[in-house]
Amino acid sequence: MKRKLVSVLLSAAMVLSLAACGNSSSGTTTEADTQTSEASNEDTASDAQESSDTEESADTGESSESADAAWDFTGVKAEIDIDGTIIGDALTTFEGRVEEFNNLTGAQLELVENGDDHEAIMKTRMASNDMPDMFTTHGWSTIRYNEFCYDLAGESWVPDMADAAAAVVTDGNGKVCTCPLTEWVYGVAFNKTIMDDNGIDMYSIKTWDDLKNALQTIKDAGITPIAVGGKSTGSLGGYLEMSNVFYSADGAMYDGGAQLKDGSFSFVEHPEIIAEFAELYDSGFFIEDLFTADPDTARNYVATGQAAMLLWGSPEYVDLMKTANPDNDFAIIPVPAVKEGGKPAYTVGEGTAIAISSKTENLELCQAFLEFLLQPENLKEYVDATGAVSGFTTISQDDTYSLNQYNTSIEKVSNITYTNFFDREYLPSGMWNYMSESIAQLFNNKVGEAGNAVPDVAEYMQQAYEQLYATNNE
Amino acid sequence: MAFLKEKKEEQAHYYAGQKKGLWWKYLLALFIVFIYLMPLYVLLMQSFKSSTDLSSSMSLPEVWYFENYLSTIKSGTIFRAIKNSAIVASCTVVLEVVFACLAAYPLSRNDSKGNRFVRSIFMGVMMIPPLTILVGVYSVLVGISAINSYWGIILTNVAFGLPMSVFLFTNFVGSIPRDLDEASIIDGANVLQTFFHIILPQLKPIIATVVILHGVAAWNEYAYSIYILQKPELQTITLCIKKYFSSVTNDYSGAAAAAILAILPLTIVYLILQDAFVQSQVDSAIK
Amino acid sequence: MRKRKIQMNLLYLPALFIVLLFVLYPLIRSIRMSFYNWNGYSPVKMFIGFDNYKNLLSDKNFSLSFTNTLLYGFGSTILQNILGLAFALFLNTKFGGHKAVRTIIYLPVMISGLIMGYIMYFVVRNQGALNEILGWFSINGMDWMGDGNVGRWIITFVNSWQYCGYCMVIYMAGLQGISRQYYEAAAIDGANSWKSFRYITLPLLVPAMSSAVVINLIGGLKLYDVVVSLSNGGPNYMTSSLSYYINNRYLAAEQAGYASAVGVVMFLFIMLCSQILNGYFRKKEVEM
Repeated sequence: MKRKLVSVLLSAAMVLSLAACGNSSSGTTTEADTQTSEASNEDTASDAQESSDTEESADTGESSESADAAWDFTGVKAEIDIDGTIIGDALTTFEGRVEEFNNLTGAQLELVENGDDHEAIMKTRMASNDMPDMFTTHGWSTIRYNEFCYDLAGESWVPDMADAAAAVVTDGNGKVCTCPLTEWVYGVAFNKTIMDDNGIDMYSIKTWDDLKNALQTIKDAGITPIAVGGKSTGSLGGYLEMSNVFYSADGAMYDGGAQLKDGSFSFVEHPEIIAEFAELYDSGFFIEDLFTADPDTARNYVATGQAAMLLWGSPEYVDLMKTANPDNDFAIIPVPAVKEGGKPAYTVGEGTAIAISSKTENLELCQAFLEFLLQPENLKEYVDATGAVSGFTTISQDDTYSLNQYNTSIEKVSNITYTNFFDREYLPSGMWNYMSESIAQLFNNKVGEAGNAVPDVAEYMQQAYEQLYATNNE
Repeated sequence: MAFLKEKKEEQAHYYAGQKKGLWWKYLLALFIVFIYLMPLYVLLMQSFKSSTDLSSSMSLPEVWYFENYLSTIKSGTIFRAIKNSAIVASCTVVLEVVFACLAAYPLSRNDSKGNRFVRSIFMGVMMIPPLTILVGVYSVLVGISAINSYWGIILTNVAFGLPMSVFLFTNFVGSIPRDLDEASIIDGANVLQTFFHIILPQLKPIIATVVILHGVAAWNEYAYSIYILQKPELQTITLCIKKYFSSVTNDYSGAAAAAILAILPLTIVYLILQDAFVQSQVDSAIK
Repeated sequence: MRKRKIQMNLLYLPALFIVLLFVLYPLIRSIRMSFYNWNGYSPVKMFIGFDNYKNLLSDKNFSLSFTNTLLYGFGSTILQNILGLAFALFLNTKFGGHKAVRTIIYLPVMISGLIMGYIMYFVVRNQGALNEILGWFSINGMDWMGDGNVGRWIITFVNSWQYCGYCMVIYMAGLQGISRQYYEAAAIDGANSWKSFRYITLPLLVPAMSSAVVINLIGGLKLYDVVVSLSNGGPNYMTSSLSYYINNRYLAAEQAGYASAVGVVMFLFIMLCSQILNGYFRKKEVEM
């Protein structure tokens, strides 16, 4: 019951905060805004309808089983490309589902694990108009991949999408671009055992000042407060996703949402988040090898207690750390508000989401595969393996370790707001790279000198923002 | 007589010195071997560690864990990748050697203005890093629908390898006495006959050099393969191993096991052929 | 005779065709692309004249990548030749087991640069093998790749270390080609070992050296795989090479036009280098 309450709360909050659904083209923003929130409202309405006739949705399982028999794709070949965020148990489970689907239908669906290069490969394949039959969209379904995605709005599972998920995968014209199996949640992940040992109650942290006090306490205890796997540059760029508590989330310190979207925002005038990270860096809170540790090393530092937290982490990381060191406890809290009066924020967005290529010759197979994945027992197995939140309301999730920790934080921290990933919603495509570069530039100073670099870094961000905004809005 | 005696003494002295100096040679050899084998030792140990084994790089595994190898072998993709690498590498070197030999013959023998210009084209593009023209090459490949095909990557490899082979072959043909082909011309041989009967046999050692140099390069090619060979059934060994690394997590143990399996075929080939290889180097050096 | 020459010239057409299609034509396309603002996948391109080139001038990451590429190219060429020659001279003394040592030195040449980078990452990372070994001698290591000024040298060393086996084999072959008689004659003239090295070995190795230098330069200037796996260009492009940077701009930063401009500048520069180098070696060989 508790879970249900949580998901309702979450959904409600998401509808409010995700109204824009990541459409960053300026001219049409307001229009798209209203359209999408209408679409979401409709979804909510249809959801209500759906849940009223639960019997019907309950026997979709059966009907799809009868559909199983009808699925015969003997000898049909297709390809599905997945990105490098599907890992560990989730990957094994996904591989298992593909194999099962092939056994069941006689299809030859090949799973292509592109790993880290997924984005680059998809870009070159878009350029050559040669997209795979299905591909994961890692948050870019409505923008970058839009014209390459088959419109899924007519699929039977559309009404079952969680509202939050539906909002991010539907574009301004009501096109459902991708099938969101899971949703990612990001906040501050930490080693709870260390925090408890040092008398820190992470759940009581309200502002960044509280956070910095806690970090200082940890540092004084001789433990490195923050681990980060900066060898993978995206780990550093992730920090700027926290811009939402600074500029855009409900109760943000400075509300720049509108300016961000019409391209008039200035990081030079508002370098607050950059300055904040400069301060964290200058306080010596980061591990010594922040540029050379990879994400695994960083997680292992926190898992083994050599470092205390991952400033930007997900429930999946909590699970991975628990597996690496079962003797310690790990937990997650939302990113605290910048100042008193703001709201702490969880960033929630598209996790594993699969789109069908608009050019596929095996449409039926692809549709069948999505339906197969969404059969409650399959979906549940996958979602539980990822440690993420389900994108569909058809299943109730198991009490996995990470989900428990996530729910605990929702109970203990009040006033949480839920936002989409900052760059997906407010920044032009291609900014991700510059976010990583900006933080790398900032941290590539001696400890104590990063503060002086803030204006330069802000200027750098600003240039990239303006240039890409222009390229994307030609 | 006096100087003969002196020389003998000197020789004796020389050999004694060599014996006395032997210990530092072995010490140095041992040091070199250590420097060269240490990273491979780290790789080997990693391949026997489970991914949750956080022991240090130099230490032996806590538990010897064979699952990395078993799962890699069981999934079978590594063997497919080895096969693909073998196809790409062998086709690349065959085409490259054939075209380069053919090109080297006229470029070396006919010294005309036009040929000097052609030669300067090859020399000019010889050192161009392939990635500098990634955008252009990729569009060409898309244009001739060579993406996701063996021949796409093979032709790309050949194109970037050719200038250097032409350079090496042209120099080598220059060292073959002209009398030989003139004799065959007098015997009434046509151009191709002269090439196949006179020039080609002489080129053997330098061909071996190019085969080894560019064969290994094509086997290990990564920068272009990643864009050209996107379908899993075409993926080569380097791409197969890259799959173990992602921005979120890296399966180092699995990658290490796969890397060991990937290194084995080439190493075995090298061990078998190394004497012949060194000999070919010697032959190609004496011009 | 003239007809025969024309027939002969036909033989280079296949090679020329491939190079024209896959190197020169793409180069021309790249040059054209470098005048556009294009994200690399959308159908829309915008002509912006020389803006990309102008931006290059003020791009710190570009100049970093450029100087790094010079280090990777020329630095590792010099290192590889010195090491390769040293190994060759050392192994040429033919002590027991020299063949095994030769095999071991050559082994890394077989391994892909990408994999070698990952292996070396395990050696040089903060809690890696190198620091552990230094710890045995109570020396405090450091986060080697964390400082770009050290990191770029480590990449140079790793590249040289990996491929100097190839140089070694070339020089060993060259050494075997030098007749003993020269040394005997020199010994009679009273030349010491340094002198016979300087005036016999070295000059006679020039042909071997020219091919070693060319091969190493080609390898070093296009360095990409090792950078990706060892440092990922970091920290903040301090160890990035031009190949890495082009790839990054083209795909991650979605600036295909700019990436092309970087490529064109790189191309022109290397063209210049190789012309100078060719001239130099041709002169050397003629002097011989």
